[in-house]
Amino acid sequence: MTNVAVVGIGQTKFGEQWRSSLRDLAVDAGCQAISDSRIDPKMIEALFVGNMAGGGFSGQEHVAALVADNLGLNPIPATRCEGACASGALSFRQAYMAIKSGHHDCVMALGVEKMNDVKGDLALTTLMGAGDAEWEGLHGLTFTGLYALMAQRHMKDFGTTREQMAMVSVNNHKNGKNNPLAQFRYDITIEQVLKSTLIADPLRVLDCSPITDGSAAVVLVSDKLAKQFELPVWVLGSAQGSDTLALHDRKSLTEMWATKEAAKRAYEQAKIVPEKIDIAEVHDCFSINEIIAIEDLGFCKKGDGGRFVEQGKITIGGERPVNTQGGLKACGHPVGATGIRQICDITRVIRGSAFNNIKGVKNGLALNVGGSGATATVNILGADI
Amino acid sequence: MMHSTPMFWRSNKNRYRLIGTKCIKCGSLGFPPKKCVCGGETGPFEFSGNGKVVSYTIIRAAPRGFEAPYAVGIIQLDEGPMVTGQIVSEFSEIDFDKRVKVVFRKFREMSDGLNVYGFKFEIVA
Repeated sequence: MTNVAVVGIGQTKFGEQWRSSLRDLAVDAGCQAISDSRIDPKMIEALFVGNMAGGGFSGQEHVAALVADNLGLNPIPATRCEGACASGALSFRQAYMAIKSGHHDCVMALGVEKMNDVKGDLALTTLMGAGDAEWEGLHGLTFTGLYALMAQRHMKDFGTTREQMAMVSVNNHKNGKNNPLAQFRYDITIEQVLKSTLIADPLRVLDCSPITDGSAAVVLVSDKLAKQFELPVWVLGSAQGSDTLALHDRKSLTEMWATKEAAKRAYEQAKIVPEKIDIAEVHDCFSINEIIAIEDLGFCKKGDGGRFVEQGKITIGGERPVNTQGGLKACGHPVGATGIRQICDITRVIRGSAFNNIKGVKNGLALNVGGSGATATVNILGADI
Repeated sequence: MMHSTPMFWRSNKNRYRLIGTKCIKCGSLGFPPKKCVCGGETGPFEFSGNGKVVSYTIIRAAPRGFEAPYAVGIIQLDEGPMVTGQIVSEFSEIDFDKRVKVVFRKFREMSDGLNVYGFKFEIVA
């Protein structure tokens, strides 16, 4: 089977983009990815679009057709992928498989979400659709609430502290400071996190990724075409897992089976072990989830995630740098775009052109999670195949 | 997430009387009602409504149709399955492993103006 490489990346500024619509954002990221790759757009044979809730946020479904149309890509097949906050990585994985299968040689994956066109409470309500609408949402269990239930249990079972969770946000803000595309570009302190407004106990507003507008896109090609590019970044492994939609149906509230399964298979494909991962972009929609992700990806033992953070192992220069460009917390979290943004960030680091440059990085892992863990996708990229 | 009144009414028996499912073949219980993974037929099963708190949180930023603050928990029913529900007791009374019983309360006013009711939980001393 052919290998697959990322040869073009594009990303809009993440944040409150009052002047840009859903289509403006997608067109911006898509055009950037095309010019970054320097391909003729006519080479693109298929488009996969990650978008969670174009209907809920913008009254727009049929988002893949919207994007293909406005990027001038008609009549190639354009398909929307939806897996809540993992929609972006789902579109990336579909694009990867379309090439891996031999069906296409050049495919674009694009993630986009325009979240600020509705008021905050409606945005919250729309995001609740990522859980079980009938058996969680109807009880008033918000998205933050779901992760709060996990955090409570993690603190109780493993002694994870409030301070350790705060350190996740502090590290992500520190890394996002140099990222011109990030929504928040300033340092925060542990004290600020601990004094910020409670959203769902024990999670406070500075534990939460924000409501964000943004888009990111990548161009993927097969072996055959990759030779003509200077710095192809190879997809070494790509896997996806599923779990129960509702948190209450899980065997454990403190680990994500979907993540563990996806990671296991992605590591196998990439022939790599967690100890050899140079950097990781993980899904810190809430601070507790970065801790859970670190454990489920095998960077430390179950329950040790908080201490792993406290010991500074996730910082740039630490044992396993995590979210080196700001993560969801500082970059912002336009839900459908995040999975592609993670791929863009890893590609930049491997190319040596990242905002926070890290020398000697040969590979990177991206974990994108949907809902409270019902969907998880792990992609591993590398400089060499 | 636009909850409609018909969506609520379809599950009235589950929400009013905590009726879930029992597999005729393997005996496993389901709440909310679900098909059994063993492939066996399921019939109705009424849960006692007694259980304990597995995890809980206080929601302080409410979505449309709800008024914060309120407590939500994951309750393990004595028969086994876990379920999400609001906990109507004083926040200070709520803790891990505390025993709860089911109570019948108003959920919310739907966008069409109708009130809907169903199960919540209360801490028992």
